[in-house]
This record gives sequence, structure tokens and C-alpha cells, in this order.
Amino acid sequence: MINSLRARLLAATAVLLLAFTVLTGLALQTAVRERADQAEHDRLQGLSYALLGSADITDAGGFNLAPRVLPESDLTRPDSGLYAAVLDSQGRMIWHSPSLLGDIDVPDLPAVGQWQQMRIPAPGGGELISLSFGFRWVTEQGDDYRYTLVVAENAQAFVKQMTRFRSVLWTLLSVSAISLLIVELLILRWGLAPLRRLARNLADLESDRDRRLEGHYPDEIQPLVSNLNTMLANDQARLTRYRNALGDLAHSLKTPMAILRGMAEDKSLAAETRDPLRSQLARMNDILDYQLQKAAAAGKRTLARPLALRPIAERLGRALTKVYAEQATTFDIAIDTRLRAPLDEGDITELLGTLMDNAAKYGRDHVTVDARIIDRALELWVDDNGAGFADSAPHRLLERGVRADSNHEGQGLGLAVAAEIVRSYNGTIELGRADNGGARVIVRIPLS
Amino acid sequence: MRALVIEDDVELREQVCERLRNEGYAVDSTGEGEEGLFYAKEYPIDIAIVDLGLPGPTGLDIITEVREAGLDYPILILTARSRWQDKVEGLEAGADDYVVKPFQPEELSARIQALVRRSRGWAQPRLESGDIVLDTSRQEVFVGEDSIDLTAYEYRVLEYLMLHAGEVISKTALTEHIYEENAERDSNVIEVFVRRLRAKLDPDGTRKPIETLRGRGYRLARDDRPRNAAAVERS
Repeated sequence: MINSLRARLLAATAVLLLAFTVLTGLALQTAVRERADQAEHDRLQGLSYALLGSADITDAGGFNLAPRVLPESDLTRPDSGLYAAVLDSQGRMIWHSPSLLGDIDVPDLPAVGQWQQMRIPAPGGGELISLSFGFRWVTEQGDDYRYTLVVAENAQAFVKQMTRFRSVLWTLLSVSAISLLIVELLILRWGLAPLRRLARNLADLESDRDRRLEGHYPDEIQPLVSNLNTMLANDQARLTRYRNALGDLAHSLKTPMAILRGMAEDKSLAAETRDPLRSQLARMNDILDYQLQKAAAAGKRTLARPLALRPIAERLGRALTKVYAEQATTFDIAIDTRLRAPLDEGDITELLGTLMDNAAKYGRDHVTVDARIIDRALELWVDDNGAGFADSAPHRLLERGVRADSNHEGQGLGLAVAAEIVRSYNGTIELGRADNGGARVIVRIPLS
Repeated sequence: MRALVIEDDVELREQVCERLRNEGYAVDSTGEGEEGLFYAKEYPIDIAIVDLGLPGPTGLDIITEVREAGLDYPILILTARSRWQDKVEGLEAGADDYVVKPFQPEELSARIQALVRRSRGWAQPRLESGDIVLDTSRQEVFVGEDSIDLTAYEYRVLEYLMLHAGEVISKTALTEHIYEENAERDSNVIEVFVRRLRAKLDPDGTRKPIETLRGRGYRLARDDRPRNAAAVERS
């Protein structure tokens, strides 16, 4: 299957053009040949009448034609290529023009009054176009003779003429077919230009801040473009609206939860009451956070604009440097400035923020972030210089609600949230060990 | 230390204020953005706790305006939105730290104390001047090995002087930073507090830790121990 509109149209046109050209050529060739044959026939017939008109039959039934009465001078010049002969009923030659030096062999004699055109071998090789005419000659004595007049002309000139005609015909037809194909190619280029522009704009869309297709398109494509624009705008607006709604929900739930959490500190309450209050609140918060984060993840989307990752990581690094000023944590962003990946900005900010925050929280004072694209997949890793993950099943940290360090109430969800975002891109997350023994989180997101 | 709390939920605001007062802060509070912005720009604030989700001017607007006005006291964000984009926006606008709701009250206190301390260039929660040690995290004062019992206001005065050790602090400044806006004030009371503090910290009057500079104010001797260099630069 040809996978290009231009190739399809071109292939169809080429086949059509070839068929048209061949049929036209054949028709023309046949028509011209028939006309030439007819002309030859008429000429030879005229010659035959002229010969018959000046012929004499001798008493013995012989045929006589004086060379000087011959209608064409070529008939007297030997081997001129124009010949005439008279055969008797047995096919024996009883007269021939002086031009004919050899014998002439007509395989089939026509009936009396019949004209018969055929090709016969020439005496000296080659081919003759012959016209035979069967006639009877009744002498005054009452003798009835049966003759056949054969007028023949060398076919060479005719063949040459036809060959020349054929070559001119096919050359002209081929040239016109090729010109038509080239014109068709240009027409297709021009006609399909809007589609190419659309494709280019779709590709540009990925670097376009507004995520919409600009410019005016032909009537056939404009509805598609408008629909795409509507879809893109709705897509973005819906995500923003959705996230705002989730943010509002978080706000309206978490402020009362904060009040409850504060009340759980009330020293007048018994410790048996305060502890479950705290732990249940922490649990509620974990569930809420996890579900909100999960719901807010945009995940893999079509026509996503490739984002430069370094500025996002640097922004987070600057913000987290403030947050971890007490530990004087430094953030080393090693990501290449040119590295871009088609991820949602909210998602990647959330993912990197969570991983970098986790690294700063559980590490000592240095966090390294690096990323590169390997085998059409984004590989991203965040290292810290802390004690690393505990050896006992660190992957459990990626499951929801499992906490590595109970000292950080409600904060153990970080990796589970990160894993959820990575999953929404069909990616994988892996917990490992950095070269310096600290924790390393490796994220792989396929980009194709 | 004077703290400003801008939080629109009355109950949560009261909780936070009460906790801060118990920890020796003079606290002004409001639930309204416009008023919050006015307080933040006009009052002698040592730390502001700002909720991001305020009606009217948002927390973000307040932080931006405060920083544009050239005020550099520490700001802590309280937010229910735990998304990083929101947190980063707040920190970029000029906040110094954030606490996500629902928070552990001790965590909030710890963050506030750390911010105040760092803004004055102290890297450790223990403030030291000579043999006087003030533990901001436990609100305890020691002279040498002995624990000293201080009233709330005495503690506020000492904490402020220690955080600003080496600087001359006027009586007006002390008044402004230990009293809330609508509290009854009397700058003579400062003299009383200082006198009592001297009696408690230096009963035999030999070391004279609090210097009086006539007409200018008080000064607590500053240790030569190095402070957090970055924070000093900022403050």
C-alpha cells in the first residue's frame, strides 16, 4: 500500500497516462497505416487500369505492351522497384515490365474481376506490395483468355515511411506523457501544499506556546483545522479547570483538617484520644493527597509540546534551596540545556519536585538531577548523598501509603505519587543506589 | 518577636495565633487580604505566616508586594494546595518556606523559629551570648549550667536582644517587637523588664550582659562565634 497521497495520485495518473498513450498510439498507427495501404492500393489500381488500357492481346493469347506506352517510366527502368506482370490462368508469367528482372510469384490468383492486395517476396530479396487483378480477355475470334495482372512495388519505401512515422509518433507521445506527468507532479505539489503546511504546523505546535494551528486553509481542510484547534483548546482548558477544581477541593478539605490536627494537640484530651486522632488524620491526608495527585496527572497526551527540562529543575532547585536552607542542601542540575521531552509541565514539575524534595529530605546536603534521552525514552535520575534506601524491599515505597520514615508524618507518599505520575506515561520507576552510596531514583518514560 | 498571621479561616487562625503567643511571640492577625497587606507593610513584623488561598488580594499578591516594598522579613506560606507549581510560585514570589495543611503544629513552630533565627544570622536553635544560652526550640534560658525562669515578656525582650546581639536596640523598637498592635503599651515597662532581666541573668552584677547606651537603647554583647554568613548578608 502506498502511504502518500502524492504517490498514490501520481501512480494512478501514470497508469492512466500510459494506457491512454499506448491506445492513442496504436489507434493512430493503425489509422495511418490503413490510409497508407489504401493510398498504395489506389495508386497501384490506377497503374493497373492504365496498363490494361494500353494492352494488346496477341492472337495466340499473348499479352503485349510496348515499353514506350508504359504509364510509368519506373516500369521500364530495370530493377526500379516498380514492376508489372501478366500471368495466365496457370500462373505462368506471359508478360512482364522491363523493370522486372527476375520472376514474380503470386501464391494465390484472384477471381475474375477481383482485386487482391498482398505482400509477396521480391525477386532480389525484400518484400513487394502487390495488387493483382483477375480479368478475362475475349478475342474477336471468340477465344476466351483468363489473365491476372500483377502490379507490385517495392515495400521498402513504404516500410521506411511507416517506420519513420511510428518513431515520430511514439517519440511525440512519450514526450507529451512525460511532460504531463511533470505537470501533474507540479499540480500535486501545489494542490497538496496546504496539507504539507498543516503537517508542518502540527509539528510546530509542539514548540508553540498557544497550542493552536494558525493560518487559513482551503475549504476542505479548514473544518479539520478548526476542530483540531477547538480540541486543543478544550483539552488545555479542561486540564486547567480540572486541576483548579481539585485544588479548591484540597483547600476546602485541608483547612478543616488542619484545625482538627491542631485540636489533637489539646493537652486536656487524653493521650489515647489524641494519638488515634492524629494517625487517622494523617491517613485521611495521605489518601486525599494520593488521590488528588493521581487525578491531577495529565499523563501521556498527543501533540504535547516538548518541554525543556532544565529550567523546570532549576526552578525547583532554587525553591528547594530556600526550603532546605537549614541543612544548606545544594542542588546540582546536570541536565543538558537542549534536552526536551513532550511531557505536561504540571506533571514534570510534580514528579521532579517530589523526587528532589524527597532526596533533600532524606539525603544529607547534596542532590544531583540528571536526565537524557536513550533509545527513544527519557531517563531521569535524582541522587542524594544520604544513607540510601533501606535494603528491605525499597520498592514497597512505591506502593501507596507506605512510609519509609515515620518521623515525617504524612510525607511518605512522595515516591508513591511520583510512581503514579510515571505510570500515567507508561514509564517505570526504579530505586537504586548512587555512586556515593546515597539513594538514586531512576525514572524511564518512553517517548514514542 | 512580632508575628503576623494572615489566614482566612477563623478557627485555624486562632489556633496558630495561640500557639505563637505561647511561644513568646507578639501576634497580629487578620483573615482579610487587604488588611493583611496593610499590616504586612506598616507593622514592624519579624515573621509573617501567610495563607495562599485568601479572598481579595491572595497570599501571593501580599508576598509580592511586601518584597517589592523592600521588606525582607521571613515569610512562611501556609497552603492547602500541595502541588509543586503552587509551592514554587509562592517561594519565587519571595516566601522563604512553606507548610502544607494539615500540618503538625510543632512542625509549624519549628519552621517559624528557624526562619526568624536564620533571618538574624543564627545557624543554630541555641542562641549564645557570653554564658547566656537561649534555646529557641524549647524556650529555655540558661546562665552557665543554671536554668533561669523568665516571664513571657522578659523572655520576649531577651530573645529579641539575643537575636540582635551586637546591635543597639531602642526602647521603641523593643516595644514594637514585643507588643501586638492593639496591646496597652508603656515604654517605661521596658526599663522594668530590662532591670528584672539583669537581676535574673546577673544577680551579683559582675558581668553586665545588657549594656545601656544612654538615649539610644540597649545592646547585648555579641559573641565572636561565626554566624550563618548567607543569612547575615540577606538581613
